[in-house]
Amino acid sequence: MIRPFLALVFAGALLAACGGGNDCKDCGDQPDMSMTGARCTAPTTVPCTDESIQQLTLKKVASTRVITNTAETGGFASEIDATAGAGTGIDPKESYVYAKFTDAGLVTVPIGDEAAFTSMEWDLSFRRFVIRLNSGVSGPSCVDGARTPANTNFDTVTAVPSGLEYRTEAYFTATCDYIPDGSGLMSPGTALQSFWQYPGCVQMTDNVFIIRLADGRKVKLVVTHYYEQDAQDHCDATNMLEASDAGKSAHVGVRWAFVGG
Amino acid sequence: MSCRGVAVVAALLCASAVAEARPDDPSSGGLYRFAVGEAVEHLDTARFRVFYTRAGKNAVPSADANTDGIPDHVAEVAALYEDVLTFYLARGFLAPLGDATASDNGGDGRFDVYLIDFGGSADGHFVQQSCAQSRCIGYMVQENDFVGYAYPTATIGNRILASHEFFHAVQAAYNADMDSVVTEGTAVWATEQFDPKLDDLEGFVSGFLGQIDRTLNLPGGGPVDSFSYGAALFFQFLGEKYGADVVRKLYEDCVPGARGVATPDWFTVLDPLLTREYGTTFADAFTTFSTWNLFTASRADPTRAYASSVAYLGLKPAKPALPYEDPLLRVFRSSAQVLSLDPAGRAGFELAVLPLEGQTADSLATLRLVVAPVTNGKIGELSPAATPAGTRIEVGSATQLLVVLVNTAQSGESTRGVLCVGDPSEVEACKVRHGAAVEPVPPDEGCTIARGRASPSGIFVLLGLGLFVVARRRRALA
Repeated sequence: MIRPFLALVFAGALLAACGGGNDCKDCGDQPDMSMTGARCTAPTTVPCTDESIQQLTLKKVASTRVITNTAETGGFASEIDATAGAGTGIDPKESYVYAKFTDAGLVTVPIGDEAAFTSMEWDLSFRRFVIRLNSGVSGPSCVDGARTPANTNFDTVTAVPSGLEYRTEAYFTATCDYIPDGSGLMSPGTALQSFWQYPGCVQMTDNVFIIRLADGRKVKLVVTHYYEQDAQDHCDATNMLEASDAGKSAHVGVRWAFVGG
Repeated sequence: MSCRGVAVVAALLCASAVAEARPDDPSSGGLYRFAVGEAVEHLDTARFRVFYTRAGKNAVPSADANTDGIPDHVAEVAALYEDVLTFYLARGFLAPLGDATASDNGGDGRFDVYLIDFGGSADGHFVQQSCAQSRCIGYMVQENDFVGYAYPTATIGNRILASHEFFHAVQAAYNADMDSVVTEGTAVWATEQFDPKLDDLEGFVSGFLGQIDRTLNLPGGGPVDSFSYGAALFFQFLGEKYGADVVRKLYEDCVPGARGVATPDWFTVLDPLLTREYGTTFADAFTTFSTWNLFTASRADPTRAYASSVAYLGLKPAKPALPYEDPLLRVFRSSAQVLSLDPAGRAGFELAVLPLEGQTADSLATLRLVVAPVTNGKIGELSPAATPAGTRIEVGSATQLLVVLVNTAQSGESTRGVLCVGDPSEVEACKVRHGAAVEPVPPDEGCTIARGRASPSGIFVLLGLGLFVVARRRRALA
């Protein structure tokens, strides 16, 4: 056994991309669902971009890593290669993987981190164990998210529960002081950060989130794994990560579906 | 609290550490404390009290060569702290604030040092016990034996810890509410001042030189803030360029209320200090600093930059192939970028930075360009700093050209623009692609000053060693 967290940040060789990724160049073919109920249509100016670029080590060049989708009843199971070229080091070398929820699945939006500050095209982005929504200090749109009550079962959510507290991305203060997630890792305190906890490895909380998109649609989402599934299962059961699984991090899995309400 | 970590785990541990009861209190909830049942003894010197135990998890090495009954390790630590304090006082720094009147003070007003096993997670930290008006009293917790650490010897570990972490106690006598760039940067600097043979600064500078494109006073991201520690290089520069007193004077100006400033910030008071005491400005000093950083590692030249610059590794110039354009050029305030250009047979080329669409050349006003020709690994004469609106660079005998873009602004948003480098025709095409309006100019106009939308005024820069920069007016192509 190794120290699991070190295994996380010093992850070994990256796994080969899963292939068959979707790309948002096809998004124009999707039915336009934004005619009614759009929450925002024009981009806002994103504050604290200088600080974001430096604090989050953002990049200019778009990530080429892929997302694969498997259709489920009413939704999708999506796998995101969020490895970001970190290799055995602790510093991601690539942009976040930007993604958009569509009726065809979660598709990549091929833009770099800096371009993402002016793009309404993406809904959320992935890099390592960080997921950011397109809103607030993260992007110009108005995508926000809320955690449903504890022990909510993803499969039983058929409508948006009432009384949720939605968060846009606000990991910088009004004066651009950084607000980390409190883990000590200095990663940003994002709206969806509670999808994981760290009892000795990156363990899933199984929290179910509701994400409100710019066009008014809503998505239920749960992060199913951060490590490849077998390593995640071991982590969730033992609070540890096997040394041999050190290279299995940042292969993020989510289940999601559009929901009404 | 300042914490000197050696691994990612340290960031986790240190981030959550708080000043609890003293480490020799069995009820202490602190992360670093003596174990229940361990017999805690102490050794007093004139100004320090060192707490230790001889048995158990936190035991210090038992060797006692002089058979005085005191473990040699403990005696060494105590003597070291005396030496360090004497050194800092001789440099004019304040001593740490005394804790004589505190209710929990280790028994008396001596500064307290606790030797605890950190288990490899970190190697020591200064704990702020209580503060008033941003000035704090506290105590040191330090690794007990350095077993399993990368330090060559425990003595070296002790010397680094005693000088680095204790400097945080000194800082707390001035102002404990400062960012990690100045606190960690000057602590590493202080160790270098105390004992230049220690390689702590040399080990950290790559954390800065590898990130010179970061804003100087913005602490680094990620779990291990190598940038802040590596920023020691900036304070080393200040010391070598302007005199070692500059850091002390900086701290004096950071005392709340100093010079009429209720809550001074080091980065804000630096420019007035440099102007008042050294006849320069932050902009000029930072430009010089950025060029000194070229003279590191294999390009070291102690006669022109740092005395020990051969050991300063980590500068990573971007190496774009020509022609090159960056439509997303972004130079953060108080940062620099270095390009390494291979002439590849070209006799010369042009470099231009255009303002973004809708902006004027004023948006580039804080940007400065310095060109350094390199021949056989040696840097020739630097160009005078100039605004990089449009310059022609003749290669001469150079085999490599280092181009430094410095943003001298201390506040505000980053300077953004379009960078075009290449043959004149390539740069013209780049300008056209990015919408630069270039004025037609008579061809016989003297020094051939470049003028485009990006260039409100002419630039003429003469470089030595066959390298010169001539800016030219160009005819608009669109």
